[in-house]
Amino acid sequence: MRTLGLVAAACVALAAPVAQAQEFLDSQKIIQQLLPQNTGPVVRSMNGAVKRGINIQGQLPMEVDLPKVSMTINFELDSVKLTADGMLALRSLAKALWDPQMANMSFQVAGHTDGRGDPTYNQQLSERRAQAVIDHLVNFYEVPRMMLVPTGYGVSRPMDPTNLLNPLNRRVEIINVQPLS
Amino acid sequence: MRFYVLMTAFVVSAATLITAGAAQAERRLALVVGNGAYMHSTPLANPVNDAEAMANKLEALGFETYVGFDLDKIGMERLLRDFARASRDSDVNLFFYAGHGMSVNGTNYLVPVDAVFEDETALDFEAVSVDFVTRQMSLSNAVNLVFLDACRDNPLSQTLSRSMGATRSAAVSSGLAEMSVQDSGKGMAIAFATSPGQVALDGDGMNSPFTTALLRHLDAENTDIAEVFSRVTGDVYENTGQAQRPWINVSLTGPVVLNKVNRVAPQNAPSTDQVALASPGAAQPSGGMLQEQQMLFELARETGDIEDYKAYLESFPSGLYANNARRMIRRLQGEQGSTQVASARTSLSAQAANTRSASINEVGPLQLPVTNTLRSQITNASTEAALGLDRTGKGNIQARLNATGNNVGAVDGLWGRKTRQGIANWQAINGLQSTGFLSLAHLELLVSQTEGRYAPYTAPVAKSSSGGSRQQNNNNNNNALGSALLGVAIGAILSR
Repeated sequence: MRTLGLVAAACVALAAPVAQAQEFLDSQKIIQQLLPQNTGPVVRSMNGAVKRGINIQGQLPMEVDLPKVSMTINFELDSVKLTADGMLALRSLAKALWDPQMANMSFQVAGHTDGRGDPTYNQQLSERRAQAVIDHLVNFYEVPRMMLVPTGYGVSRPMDPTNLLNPLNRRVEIINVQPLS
Repeated sequence: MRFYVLMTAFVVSAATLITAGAAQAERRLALVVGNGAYMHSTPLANPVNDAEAMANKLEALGFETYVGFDLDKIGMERLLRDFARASRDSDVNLFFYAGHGMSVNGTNYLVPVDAVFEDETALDFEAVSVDFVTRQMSLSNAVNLVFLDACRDNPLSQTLSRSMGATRSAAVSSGLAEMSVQDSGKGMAIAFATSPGQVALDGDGMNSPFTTALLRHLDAENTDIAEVFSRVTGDVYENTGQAQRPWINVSLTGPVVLNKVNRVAPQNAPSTDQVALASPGAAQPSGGMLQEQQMLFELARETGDIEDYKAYLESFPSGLYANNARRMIRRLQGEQGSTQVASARTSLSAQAANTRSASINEVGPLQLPVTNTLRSQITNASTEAALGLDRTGKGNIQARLNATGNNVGAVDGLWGRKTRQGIANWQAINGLQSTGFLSLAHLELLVSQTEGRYAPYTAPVAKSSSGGSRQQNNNNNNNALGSALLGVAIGAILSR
């Protein structure tokens, strides 16, 4: 039941076989994934005009492809209380966010749940958890709050659309939204 | 421990006598109170230091000072009465207070060291209203300056909100409320150590951040008090890592210069005893202009619109409120949301960020650092209620507290005085605001410190009625969400 797993989110992950790589995401890997040059040709080819005007405070449209990293951050059941494992994962994230390469950037902290339970409740829970992640980063690592925008997606953006109950769907994504502004 | 001193400072040096003809005619009076040794709430280390340092500074500036340290209710009122009587015929009255403060329904209260807050009647009987002080001051035709280095942490509000919460709409907020500046005499300026609804820090060293800044700038030569305020605000804001922003209400009808130095006679320059209310003269804005300035600035404050502040600046680029307007513009620009998101980070040098990043060691066991952000965080009954702790959760916290060596007695999921004391001790040991109440961040810290070092607790199955209903909630949630949600619940495991 206890999943300490940090799952790399490449675009291919959507089609990837389930519950593979339980790779530990250290801060360097997080940085690599969040840097704009690693977003691949899809983003580069995007018309700037299309991106502008997207509100980074809310859910991003599906088609926006931004540099992002997907992490498994453990909370207690039905709660915003981070487990010790969850806090361990956030330590690396904090280190990454403080890296000078991340200067001038802002990030959406996106909470996702899996398909079990009431969608409305899951939506709220994902929002609260996104907020809890930000609070933790601010309280313990003094990451500037302005860098981070919380958003909840509930179960609307599953990692594994074929199986909504797949634990892989429960995750927090850190999305570099700087290209939008 | 409690004493109060009436110090009349006739600090009239020879140097002053030579030049300070006009200044001598003035009478300046200061009431300085520092309360730190609270008997029934968190004692504060620095208010007495703050008050002592301020009293010395003010005496050097030619004030007669009425000074009190660690005053109880009776002591505060007695000192106030003495001060109020004397202030009738003075030209500058200054009131400085350091200690706990609170605000209820928009009224600000200063807290004597013997205050016990059990219900709302305590406000009238135990605390001293700031309005009461300012009213006394406004009876004179003097310039009135008020410095409130209060708010700090306010453990009293929890007791109050607990007893008042259900029955009354009265919101007890931490710290001092915004105060209106009354029309009186030559006007009044009130400087708060922090913004409305926010808390002020007691400081790590000898003095609080606000008093430190005040001591540095109060005797700036030939500087209007508005400019002094603005420098103090800047200092505090910077030095607290932008955690605390002083708040100023000014309604003065002319410039006030506390340390006027006559440059024409440089041999007398070092004298800090010369205090002068700049006499009405050519350099001052005329009454009409002043009114216009005030109106424009008030308008901007009401609308809170950046354009209105700019309009004021265009009309009065060096006006009385020009600095305030500029500051507000900067601040409003900063608040303009996501387009500015990067600015918080850009302002940090790459080097500082690098140091910061390097300081986080991502290998090895988790040791959450206690940051200044965390140190200044105030917890209370509502931050704890937000955690939604059930009996199992509470029992596990007790077990964790015991594991840290802060003995709370039996681990039973029922929190009494011992548990509160245990939490407060643990908070104090970790340099947190010691209130006896948890918040999410405090709990996270405790969890990180005790992971794997305590025996998990499971509440007995539904015996007491409250335990029973919690149980049911858990089951419902589990039905709804199943085991889908992340992680392992410390307590909620019981249903599986």
